Amino acid sequence: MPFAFFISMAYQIEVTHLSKHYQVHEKEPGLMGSLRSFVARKYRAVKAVDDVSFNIGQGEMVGFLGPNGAGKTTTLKVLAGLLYPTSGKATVLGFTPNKRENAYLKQFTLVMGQKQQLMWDLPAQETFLVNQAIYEIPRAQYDATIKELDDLLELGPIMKKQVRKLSLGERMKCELAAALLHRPRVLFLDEPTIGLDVTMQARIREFIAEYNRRYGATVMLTSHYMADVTALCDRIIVIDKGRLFYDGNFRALIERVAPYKIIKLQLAQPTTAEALAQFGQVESCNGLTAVLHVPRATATESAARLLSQVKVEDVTFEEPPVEDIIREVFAGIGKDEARGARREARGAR
Amino acid sequence: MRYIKLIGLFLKANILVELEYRANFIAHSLVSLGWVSITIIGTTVFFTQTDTIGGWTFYETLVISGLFTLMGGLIQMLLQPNIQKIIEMVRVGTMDFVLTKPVNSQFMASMRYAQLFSLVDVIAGGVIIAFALGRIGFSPDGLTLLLFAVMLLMAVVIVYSIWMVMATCSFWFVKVGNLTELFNSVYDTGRFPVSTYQGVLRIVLTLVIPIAFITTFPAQAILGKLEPGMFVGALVMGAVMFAFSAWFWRYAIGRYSSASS
Amino acid sequence: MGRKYLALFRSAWMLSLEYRAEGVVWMMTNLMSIIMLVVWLSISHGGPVGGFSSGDFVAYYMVGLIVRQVTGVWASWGLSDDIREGALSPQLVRPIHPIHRHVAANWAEHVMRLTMLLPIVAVVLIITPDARLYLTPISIAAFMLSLLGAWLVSFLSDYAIGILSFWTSQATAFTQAMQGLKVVFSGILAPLQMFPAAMQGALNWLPFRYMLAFCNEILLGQTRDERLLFGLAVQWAWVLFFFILVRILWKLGARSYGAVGA
Repeated sequence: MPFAFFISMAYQIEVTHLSKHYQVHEKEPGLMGSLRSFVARKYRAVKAVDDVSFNIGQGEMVGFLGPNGAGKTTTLKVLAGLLYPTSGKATVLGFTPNKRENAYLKQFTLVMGQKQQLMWDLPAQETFLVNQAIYEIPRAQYDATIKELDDLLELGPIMKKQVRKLSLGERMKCELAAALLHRPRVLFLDEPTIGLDVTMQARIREFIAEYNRRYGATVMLTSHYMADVTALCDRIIVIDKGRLFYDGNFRALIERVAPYKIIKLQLAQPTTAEALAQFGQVESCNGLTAVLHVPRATATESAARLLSQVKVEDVTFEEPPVEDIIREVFAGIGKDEARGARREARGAR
Repeated sequence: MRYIKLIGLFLKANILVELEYRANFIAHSLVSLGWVSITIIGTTVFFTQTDTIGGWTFYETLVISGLFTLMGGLIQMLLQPNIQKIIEMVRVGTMDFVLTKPVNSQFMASMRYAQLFSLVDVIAGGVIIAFALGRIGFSPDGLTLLLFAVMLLMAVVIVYSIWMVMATCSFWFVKVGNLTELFNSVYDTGRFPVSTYQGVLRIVLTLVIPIAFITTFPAQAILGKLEPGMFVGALVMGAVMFAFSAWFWRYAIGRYSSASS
Repeated sequence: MGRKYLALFRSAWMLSLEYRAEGVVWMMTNLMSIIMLVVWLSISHGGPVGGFSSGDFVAYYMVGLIVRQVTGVWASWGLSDDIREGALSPQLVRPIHPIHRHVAANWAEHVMRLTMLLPIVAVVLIITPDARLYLTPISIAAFMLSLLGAWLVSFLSDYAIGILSFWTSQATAFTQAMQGLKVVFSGILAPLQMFPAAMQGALNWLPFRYMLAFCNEILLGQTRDERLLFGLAVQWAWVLFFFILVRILWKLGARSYGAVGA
């Protein structure tokens, strides 16, 4: 037992002061701008990832959140060895990713929602067979894994159909299967559910959770869909403009950013907002319906008081919607930045 | 008139794209010039062993080489990019975007793109023709030039129609990109006068895949050796082929089905 | 490694089978070099030209069909697309160099088309009385060796051009340039003996001759003994050169890709 404890304490993914900068050339719009840039190019440095550090242990499922262009995909690509760092260090399973040693390549998988590895004109099964050879998977293990993936993902006959004839959801299932054939220990999933319908998204989510349960694989997931992250990840890392803004427990973040609960009331008789104000912050009050925000810490107490003094037909308690929370986080980031920018401007004067 | 304006906009968009990749622009121009030199060398090699080919002298054949280069340049510049795009759009399913626009779909699909640096080939071809004519000592008069212009126009129409038919085939055969390669290699026969080829081959190259109308006959026009039969034939061939390509395109659109989402 | 190739070849074969109609069209494209034969036949009507009789021309172009098929390469197109569209990334994450997929695809296609081409060539050679091949154990062995060398030079030089796609989006322009040079200087257009002597001298050192004409000459008995050995030496020197070039360019390219990625 202690030995296993020790093993799991060693981090699988270590990122230390990672930075990734690009030179991007700027161009003014229109024909004149094009001609000008044809003759003399102007370059601008873009900090896709800026001094990011975090550590991930075995079996963790970490959600990577951030707006478009925040640096999520870039970070994943560094960890997958596709990009090399401008500065800082990244190690996965003790390997330096961009050396792309075969021993490392066999231990992780990269799934990009918008790009595919399946051969377009052949059945998915053919890609599986090629992967078996490439990853040198012994026959017995291959058969067993196929069977498991088939069960978990309900692949069935779609394995034998040409990939270009499959629907988007079916294709994604096969992509995942192909990506996991070699039972990788680390999964980098970049927008795996993008473009899928709600049922399929849920199915994929269940699959990833089950895979993590069964094999203790470490999962790093980026997604636009909050549902992906809420369902799968206890820990989230928030990145914006290349910088890390939050790294920790999801629930804790909710507590910090949105330390309130929502009480929705169906009133027995009309009341005024002023009358309800004593119980909490009134978000809305129209005739027979009202919505209040009450501080989390005193939520039950406020609720009890409310119910004893106000006649209600129905009452519900809700968590704040996650999208709002994230928006708050970014708004908070925005405010911090604005404050910082103002400070700088003042200092410069 | 809307269509003229559209052509202007398309042209501007294409220029902007070309300017984006300036190193490539220069590289491409150099490569084009290289190709032209190769065409000339190719013709010259044959003439080291003989004085005439198919009854044509070296400089007369050089006029054909010039036309071969010029037409090749036009194909690379105006036809190839669009046809490749059509094939891709059908394969990926984005042809739908073209079909839902309030513009004639054949126009939109075949005129949108242009690979402008192939203009080098067109100019080079013209230079070769002028050079060869100079060597022969023949100065075309106004009428000859007019006839030549018409023959050239017909040649363009014929080539356009052939390429459109090939592109339209992609509605049925998913991967038809190499049909264009097949055309290119048949087009290779246009390096030499059609009289070089005997019997069945000559008939095929004149009436079935009318390469003769693309290089040989316009060459005869500018050399002042145009026969009335060729002239009329060119007009008829051009009109018929264009009409067929337009009809075929409409037919294909009518039966179009896109690839899976 | 052998297992990997078997798997790659298998799926490449299935793809070729799937698109055999396309393959036939490509074959017909290559057949167009027959047009050049027609032109030479019309010129050599009256008598031998440049040391070639009509029968010799037929033999040259028939063998040339086979060699041209084997040295047909197109990996640079695929590589260019993959790099441009970012499809290279999934390939880089797998424990096998992306080049192997192209090698397998190339050979699967060759095998498929040769099965159709060899009978046609054999028939033509048999029914043309004047077309004679120089067949001895040495010439046949040398031919096979030179054929392998021709494939390597063609494939590796093409792949090297494809690698340029890491830096330019129009590497395929160079592919087409290379193709143009091949058509003239590797003997597709005309046997190299038709070129002026000075040019032939230069061509003996450039890689183009060793992509096609050299193989033809061996089987036609036009290159033997010391000239044969000399040719083989130069050919395989070029193989080595392009092999090293590909390795260096790939390292640089992967480095550059890792800077900007896709």
